[in-house]
Amino acid sequence: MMKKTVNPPVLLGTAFLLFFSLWPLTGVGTDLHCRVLGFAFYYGALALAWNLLALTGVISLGHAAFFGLGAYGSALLDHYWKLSPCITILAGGGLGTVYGILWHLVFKKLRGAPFALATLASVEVPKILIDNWDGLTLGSRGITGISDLPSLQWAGLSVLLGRDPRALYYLFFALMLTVGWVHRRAFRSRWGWAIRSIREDETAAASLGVNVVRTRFQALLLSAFFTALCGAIYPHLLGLVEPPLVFSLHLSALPLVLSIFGGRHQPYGPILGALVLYPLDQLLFHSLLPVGHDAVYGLVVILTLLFFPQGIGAWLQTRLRSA
Amino acid sequence: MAPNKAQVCLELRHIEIGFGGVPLLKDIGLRVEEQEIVSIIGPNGAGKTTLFNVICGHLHPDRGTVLFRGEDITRRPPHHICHRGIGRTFQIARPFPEMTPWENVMVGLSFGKRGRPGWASHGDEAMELLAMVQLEHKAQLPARELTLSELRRLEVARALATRPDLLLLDEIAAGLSPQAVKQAVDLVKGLRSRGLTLLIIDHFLNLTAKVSDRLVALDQGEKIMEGTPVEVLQCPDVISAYLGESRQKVVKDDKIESHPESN
Repeated sequence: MMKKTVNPPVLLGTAFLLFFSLWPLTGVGTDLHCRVLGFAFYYGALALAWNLLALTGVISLGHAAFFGLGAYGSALLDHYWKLSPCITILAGGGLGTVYGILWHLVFKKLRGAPFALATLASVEVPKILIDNWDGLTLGSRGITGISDLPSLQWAGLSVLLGRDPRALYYLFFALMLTVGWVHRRAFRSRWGWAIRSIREDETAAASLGVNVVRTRFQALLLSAFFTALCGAIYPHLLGLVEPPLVFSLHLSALPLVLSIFGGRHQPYGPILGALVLYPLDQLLFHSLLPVGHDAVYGLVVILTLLFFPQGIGAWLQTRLRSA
Repeated sequence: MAPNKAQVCLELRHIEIGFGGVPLLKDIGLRVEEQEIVSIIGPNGAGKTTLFNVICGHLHPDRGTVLFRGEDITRRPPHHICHRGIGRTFQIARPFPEMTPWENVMVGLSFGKRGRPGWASHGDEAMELLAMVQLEHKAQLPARELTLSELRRLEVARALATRPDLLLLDEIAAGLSPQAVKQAVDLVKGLRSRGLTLLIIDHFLNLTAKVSDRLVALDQGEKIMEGTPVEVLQCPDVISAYLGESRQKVVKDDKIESHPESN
């Protein structure tokens, strides 16, 4: 029983991990490459977080609500009390999670298009509130002067997390792997079977003993938490935050685009989408079309839905299998 | 009444439910004893499936109580009722279409009654259940590719996977070819020999006379008759309920429901 067969996905996964953890050390890429890939990981984490909820069979168009609340949670704590970014970021994640609980309570009975529209609308509530509550949030002027990410001191070395592109690269790599691990659990575990059965037929799942309400709630909470966590890091990167920047349709749509492009029903689909599309956009489209490069995302969604409805991940998989 | 079985498995007391002011079930009472086979018959719209949905927790009654082995399970969520030991099939089959039949059954085994950890070891049991309903040759196809008769059998295998003590079968023989109906009859007889208690909805009386201990006839949400198959099928009220339907609805329903499986 000790005989081990080499499993291609395991091999591929190991190669992926080794390549991306060693690549910045080789000195092949420039700082720009490092930065772009780092942000690809960041948006990959965002896409994975979004997909956690989508796996239960509902599409959210309002994840910017979690992102924005996470961003304002951390920005306000930093602005008023200058707390350590570690605390502000976690607190931001917590604030988004609270909004997730609200979603759960209010949108419980909604599915399909009504759910999607309700989530879209739910972004406006915190946005308008923050935009107009000048006394607390400084309103539409936004908050500036937010602290950088902390510097890491280790063995006499000091690295500025927020300034050093390689440090940021590794931070976001770790972030994506963390969310990726949870996302993988949503496939390869008993919990994953529950999620899948709910996605395919929630009434049948319930009659077979699956606790539909609890499973969906867990997925929503994790999705909201990780999205808000990404949002909470954001002001620390930019040094500022204002409502239209974080409660934006772009931030609701981007994770959806990356996931659909990469393959929503693949454990690694959202990662694939982010690692292909984001660098392509930043390094290629951006220089070719300085003004209209965002339109490419729209085009990509349409083309994916028409020609690769399951995403390129699923398409590649069938290609590899038949080869 | 079934002979020499005294223990009550399922009891409904004064169940009432309405939708938008229209009553769907009116003061329904019912007792099913352990290892008994009871069939519910009645014309379309009589409330048969509604009654199943009330028992399984998919619908909450406005009034009344559902007792399972003495425990009040009224308004409990469906997964809780499954864990208590009640399994069901759906009239319009609800497979997990992108899963294989094997995976469909695995969900029942993993989450049903006593379906706790070590679920990976249920694999063989899943194949046994599929073999029981003669689906083992289709175990690894996507469920959406199965025929109507195969989907009905998958429903039964999946419900059995939750290890129920009481199984509710909703029209498992409707719309099937005579040969498939015979298969279904054999399947039900097999279930009885496993010691299950069965409550069967059988609008077309395909299974009823052959396997039931007792019949309950519903019409427009009311229980109009209860007794042995012979008593109920000869009751003038039951006959007129079905005949009344034949003038209004049966022609239309035949088009939808009683075609032998063609695709």
